[in-house]
Amino acid sequence: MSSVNIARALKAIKRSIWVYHLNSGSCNACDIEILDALTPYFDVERFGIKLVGSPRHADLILLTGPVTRESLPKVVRAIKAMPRPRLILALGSCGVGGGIWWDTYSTIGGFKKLEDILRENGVEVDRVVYVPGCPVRPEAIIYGILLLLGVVEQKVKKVEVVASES
Amino acid sequence: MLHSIAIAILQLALAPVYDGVERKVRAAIHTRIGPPVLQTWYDLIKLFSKEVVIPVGGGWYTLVTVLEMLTLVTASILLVHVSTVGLAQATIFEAVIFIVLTGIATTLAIMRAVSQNNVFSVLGGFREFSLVLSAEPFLAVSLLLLVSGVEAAASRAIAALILLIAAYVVSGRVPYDIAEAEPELASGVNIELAGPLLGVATVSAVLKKFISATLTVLVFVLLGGLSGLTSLTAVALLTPLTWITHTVVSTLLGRSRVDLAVRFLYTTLFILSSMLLVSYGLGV
Repeated sequence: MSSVNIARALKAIKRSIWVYHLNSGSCNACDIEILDALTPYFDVERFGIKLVGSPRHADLILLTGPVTRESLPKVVRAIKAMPRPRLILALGSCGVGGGIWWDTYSTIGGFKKLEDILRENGVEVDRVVYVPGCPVRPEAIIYGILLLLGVVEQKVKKVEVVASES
Repeated sequence: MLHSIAIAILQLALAPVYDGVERKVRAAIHTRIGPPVLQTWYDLIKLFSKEVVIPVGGGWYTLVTVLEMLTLVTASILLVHVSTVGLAQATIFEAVIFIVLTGIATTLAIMRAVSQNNVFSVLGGFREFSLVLSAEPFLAVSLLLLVSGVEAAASRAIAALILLIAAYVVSGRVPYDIAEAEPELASGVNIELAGPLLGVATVSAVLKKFISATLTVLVFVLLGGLSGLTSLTAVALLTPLTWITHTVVSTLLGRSRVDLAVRFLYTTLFILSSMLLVSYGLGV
């Protein structure tokens, strides 16, 4: 049972978002891009974004990698350690859907599968945004965070079409 | 006294704004835009709206965190009170109370760190302890000497210099932010804190910066011999300026190894204290 007003907390997070970098078995390409996005060149502090060293301090987890079986328990513990509201940015092709490792024996295949495991363990995640790319670009990471916070609008939307026989 | 408390509350409400200005100045030195001036307020509002997570240690842990902040608030009010009456009229009693309050706050911070079931937090606690041992005794001696009204010019100048260095260390800026260390090291006294408790610890960190800046200003006011309303105005105007000076110094200083930073500080303050002892003995 959560002791927090999620809507109020999400509103407050909009001006101040602290991120925790979590590598779940990535090749490090996305991680290098995350470090790039956090350099003074991109100046993410102007949006209130700050890197922190503990999931206890974090509002958002920057998740890279296809979640290897070895890293899975640690990933679940790190996400569970975050105070709610918990936000996750699944980064890169591997983070989004496992990439080329999606069906290998040693990985679970990205965040979508991890989400099910988290749900089974009673860990609630309040918002998720998927940022694909191999590796993901720094601009895309920043855009993803702002999309998660509702500062910018989503550019691409799912449209369902029905094929006509004629 | 009520007058002092009212001014202190105003100053304390402005302290997070000074911290925001610090972040803006640091960004300007890095040639970037930086966060809004109210960013520290935004951070605090966010932290207090998040979930309360009490790690292993329970209520005791929460109590220590809150007590630390309250002790620092009391020390800040005392400093503002001293600035309203003028440091020239401050008594040894007030100086001793201030030293005891800051000592209690540091002890509570260390207790909070080592009482957690987290080895990284304990490591941060020991780093805080080594820093305290290297700075606070020297701060106490120089403050007592200045307040006791020693006339000898050389002794006063050396004591003021020690106090300026020790006050900078108390503020927890680079390279003396080793208790919390770098975020990448994932170890520090605050590592297990989350949500509102982390907010309380953040307020404590801002208060330490406020105490450091005000103490530095008070040294100059004492050397200038100001008192009364002039002293109060001087302290109120010079505190943000000193805060910015500390920011510029910390931005220009590089990080140091956790052991080297403490050793260098201890050596410097030990040499200065020896000089102070000699000059005080000679009465110059």
